[in-house]
Amino acid sequence: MFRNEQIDIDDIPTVDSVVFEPVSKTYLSILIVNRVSICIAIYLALFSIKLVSSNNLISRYFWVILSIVSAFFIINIIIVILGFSKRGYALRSQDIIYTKGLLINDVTTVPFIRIQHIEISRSFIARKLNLATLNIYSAGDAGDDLSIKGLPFDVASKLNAHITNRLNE
Amino acid sequence: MNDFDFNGPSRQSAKGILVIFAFNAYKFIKKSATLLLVFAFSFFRKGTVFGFSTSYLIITLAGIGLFLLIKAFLSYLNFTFHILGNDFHLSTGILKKENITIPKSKIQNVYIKQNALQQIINVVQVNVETAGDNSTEIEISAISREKALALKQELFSARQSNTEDNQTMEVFYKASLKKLLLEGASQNHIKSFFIILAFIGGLYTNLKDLVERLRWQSYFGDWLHMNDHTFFKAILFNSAIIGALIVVTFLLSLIKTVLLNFNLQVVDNNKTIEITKGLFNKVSLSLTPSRIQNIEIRTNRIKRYFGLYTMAFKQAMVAKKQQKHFYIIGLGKDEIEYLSQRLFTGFNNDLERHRPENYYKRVLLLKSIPLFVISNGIAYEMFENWFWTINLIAIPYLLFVLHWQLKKAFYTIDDKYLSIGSGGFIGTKREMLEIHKIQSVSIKQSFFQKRKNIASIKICTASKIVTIPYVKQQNARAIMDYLLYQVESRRLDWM
Repeated sequence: MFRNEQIDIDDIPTVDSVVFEPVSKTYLSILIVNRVSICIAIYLALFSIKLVSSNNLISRYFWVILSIVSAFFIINIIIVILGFSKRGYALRSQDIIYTKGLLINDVTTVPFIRIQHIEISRSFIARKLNLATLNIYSAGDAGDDLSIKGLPFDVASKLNAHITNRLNE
Repeated sequence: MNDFDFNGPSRQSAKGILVIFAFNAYKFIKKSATLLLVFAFSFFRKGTVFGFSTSYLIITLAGIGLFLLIKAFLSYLNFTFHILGNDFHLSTGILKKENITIPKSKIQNVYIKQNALQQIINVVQVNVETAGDNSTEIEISAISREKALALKQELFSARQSNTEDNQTMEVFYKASLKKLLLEGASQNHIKSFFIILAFIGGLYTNLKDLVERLRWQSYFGDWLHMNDHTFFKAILFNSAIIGALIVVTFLLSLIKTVLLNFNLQVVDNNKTIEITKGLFNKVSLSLTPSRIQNIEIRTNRIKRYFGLYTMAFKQAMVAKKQQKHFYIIGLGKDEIEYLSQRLFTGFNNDLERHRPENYYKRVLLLKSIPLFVISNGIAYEMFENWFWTINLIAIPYLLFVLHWQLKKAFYTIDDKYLSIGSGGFIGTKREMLEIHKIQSVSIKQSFFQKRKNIASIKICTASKIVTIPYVKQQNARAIMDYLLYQVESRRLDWM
């Protein structure tokens, strides 16, 4: 039966009213560990260059470079910590919404009927901390796929089961 | 009518060895291009390559050629295909054997192509495309045209309707040579001009070295050594070079347009729209309305004067290599209107055009700062203390472009279609998509935009991401809600 009534714009469900569920607090530690290890790697590289030879550009401006790297790193960590509260997801009856970003905030919604497949991935540290990433793939090359990081493993499994159920309907 | 038997294994035409050889040789040269350049350079400088003499080099080259020829011959021997029941079978590989089986029903497209070499030896290339991975594409590089057509028919035999449709074909549009020439001439040459300029500039520094080495100074030296020149002569020399470059750019885009679109023909079937074009590399494409994700209509000032529009399509399930050919040039206003309605039934051109907020102006201003700095930098190199005079031209020009960018930016939404217009002083572009084919919607908002209550909306289809730039935050949310509502309540397929 084909119907085509007029829609009252005010009756359309709005993204505005959803309450976002935060991701697991332990995920913040993974984010920080990741950045610290990158920073340590850069420090090590800088120091070893300085030790090997003193007659190159990096050794001459060693302290300048070191302080730039450190400043960048500290700012990066602050942004990660401040932006952490911006991460969140919301499950609605027809779609899933994910939001993140402090400097550039991004709210992405993928309708269930457009999801191609869905998977859970866990890195080594994530397994230790009982966390998981939920990857949601829509169609095509250009589709910007959702990946909800830092979910507690049981929540990720539940979401996975729920969405898979919806896909098979 | 089918004289060919595909039940038993069948090979390509024997001429295929030549085609495979040419393909492999081309690939080899392309891959080792930088290495070959280095060798060539060293050869010109010292007359040897790493101390090897000319005869050694010739033997090496002949060896590589022979190897490629033997490889081509073996590939030819090991490449067989046949059709068994409802499956297409292909086995390839000299050392690493591969057997590929594709059910006929999964075949999306069969393309028949012909490049220059294939035209000379009178064979065609058949590409079989399946849904899904780009890598599952099958390429038969040389068989006779009759056999290719028979194969195509055989592959589509499961679908009777497809062959019936072919009888109701009518040529909808054919581009005349005059139109192609007009299209080529009215291309935006500025971009290609700068690419060529940069290329020549890079070569020049190397060339200077070579010229000195080859002792051509006695003939050209006076021209190439600008230090010794008066200001006037240098200007004259530079304008001569730039003038020559302009002519070259113009001719190149003209030739390219004509070659790529030679004999452009659009045929309207009941179900699909077939496009054929190309002189040396003939391509035939088919547009399936249900698979089209985005349509783009482009024109520029000169083209519009002549009534020329380009329509480009993004279709799902098309190999990357094919995707770039999905456009039709030289269409008139009526034909654009017809095609839009044919593919996007009920598309309304006269909807209210919403414009981006004033914030967009500020973003564009910020974006033009690098251009401003660069033009001043170049001017300083050229005119030194008089460099600021460039701004008498640069600032009005940048403002002028900005004015047109603002003027041409808009978006329209109704319950079925979304369209976004953009462009600068010269070009104009309009992107269109069907709302029910949207895959996901996001709202992007930077820290600064948040303070001004501005946001942009990113809309993904299976082939492309389009953006509605800088609208009010509450409008952005309303648009997102509306688009999601349309997708989720209609529950239509995106393909």
